Amino acid sequence: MSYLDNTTITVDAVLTKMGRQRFSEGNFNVTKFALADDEIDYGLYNVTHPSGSDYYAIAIENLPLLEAIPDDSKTMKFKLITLPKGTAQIPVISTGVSTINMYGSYNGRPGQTVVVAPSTVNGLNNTLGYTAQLDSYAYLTLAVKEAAPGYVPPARSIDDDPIRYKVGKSFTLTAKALPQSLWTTGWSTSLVIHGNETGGAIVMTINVYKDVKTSNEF
Amino acid sequence: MADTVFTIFGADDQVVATPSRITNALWSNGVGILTTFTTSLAFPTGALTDNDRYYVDVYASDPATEQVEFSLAYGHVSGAGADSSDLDYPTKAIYGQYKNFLLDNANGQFILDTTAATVSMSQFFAISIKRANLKQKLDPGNWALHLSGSIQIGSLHLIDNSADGYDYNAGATARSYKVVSGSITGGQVGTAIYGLVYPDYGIILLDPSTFSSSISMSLNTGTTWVAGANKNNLWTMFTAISASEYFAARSEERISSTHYFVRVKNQQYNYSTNPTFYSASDGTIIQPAFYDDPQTFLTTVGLYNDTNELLAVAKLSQPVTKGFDKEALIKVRLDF
Repeated sequence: MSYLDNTTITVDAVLTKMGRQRFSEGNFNVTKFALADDEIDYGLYNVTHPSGSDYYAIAIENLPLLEAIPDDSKTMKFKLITLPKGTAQIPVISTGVSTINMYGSYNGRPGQTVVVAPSTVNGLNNTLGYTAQLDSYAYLTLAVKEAAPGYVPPARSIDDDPIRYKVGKSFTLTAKALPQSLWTTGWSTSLVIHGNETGGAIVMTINVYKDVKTSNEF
Repeated sequence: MADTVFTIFGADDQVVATPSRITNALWSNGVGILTTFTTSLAFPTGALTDNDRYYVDVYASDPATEQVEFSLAYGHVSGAGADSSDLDYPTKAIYGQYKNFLLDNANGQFILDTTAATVSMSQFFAISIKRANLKQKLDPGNWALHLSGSIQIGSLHLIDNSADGYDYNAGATARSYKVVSGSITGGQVGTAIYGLVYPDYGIILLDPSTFSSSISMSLNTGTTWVAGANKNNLWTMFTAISASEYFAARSEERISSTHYFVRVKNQQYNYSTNPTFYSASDGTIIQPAFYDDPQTFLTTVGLYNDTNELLAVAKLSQPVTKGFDKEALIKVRLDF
């Protein structure tokens, strides 16, 4: 007979950039948690392991993990979700494209506007919509095109950061003018779209150029 | 918000822990004992700049690349140790500055001893530890400074007497202890008092009149300062510290923590949005064994506010397996 394992896993948390901002505002209030499996490759789950079923997940379970990073846009990418037992298909968020090329305003010509309308295969996200998060807003603006019907902005809303975060069913991106130093190379950032009901996320690359890219515009 | 992704903490899931006392090596780069000391000044022969009349910064090594460890200043109640032609009265100004800063009565005096008769400090060397090193305070009872005025005479080993648990300045603005001779491990030796330490300010005041003769330190208590004549008190004290090659100290801070108990029940979080978990085309779970018995491997805990902003994140050291027959309890500690 051996002792039962009564240990509790204890981990140290770090504040994210958003957490520091809210803390500095005196508005730091943790109310809920979510879980993620960033770094896990489920392809390592090996049902043919010669040692049997206890070892199917051994390659995953023995993986040493990296430290937490404070950038809230680059962590908690792949959330764990609660679905009924027997579920065979996971809700999948899609926008149809992974890269958007846009032209900025130049010499009187307005910057290009693009609508991003995510959808979710296998349901959900129709009520609470999606959260769109720009990594950088230097040469882009982000706006809600269609509101999510079930999303009620709280007193302190995610929209407090009106440039980087938006919650809705679809969104509008508008390119701004690029400085001359970027006329040749263009400028890139990423747009992460989270499903507010499913937890999934997709990452899109947004490129802004000085000139019209007729061949690969979104 | 639907509970597909988030779980709201219950009232019993958040616990504010008693603040814990954390001590660390005081000096830059985690060094606990300074054995080398440099300054950018060319004492005693170099010309004094404006700031040189008041204080010098002391470094562990090259001032061009290292950060300041502490500053050294000399104060005198009547302005001695500075040139009388200097109408800024730098040493008198220093004395008044520390008096104003540390004493409740700005017109009072630094009292070294009251056991027999009141002994006050009319002059002092002030060691002010750089705040970045200090964190919240100097750890009283765990610093030691050696002074060497002359190799033949030997050195004086200074500590504080906080071990007796008595705050000589209780109730005043600044907590203080006496500076005495001894060692950190062996405690106080003798009864002589050499100055005052204010741990909450990271300031040590040393009265040179109490030790200059014992370590053969030559002080300038006149009203002239002659370049090259070894009459600069800051240089004299700097050489006494650097010759000793020993200044040990620890910082102290109180860390407040909140513990969040993340309780993951058997029915929760058994599916993943990880792209290796399902087919991107239609969302079908890739691993057939997961159809009836899904397993996930949680690596990261995110703490959110009510608007889904990720405020803090914690990583596990290894993945934790989750399934319909497994539960997990994770305690997330967040320090402030």
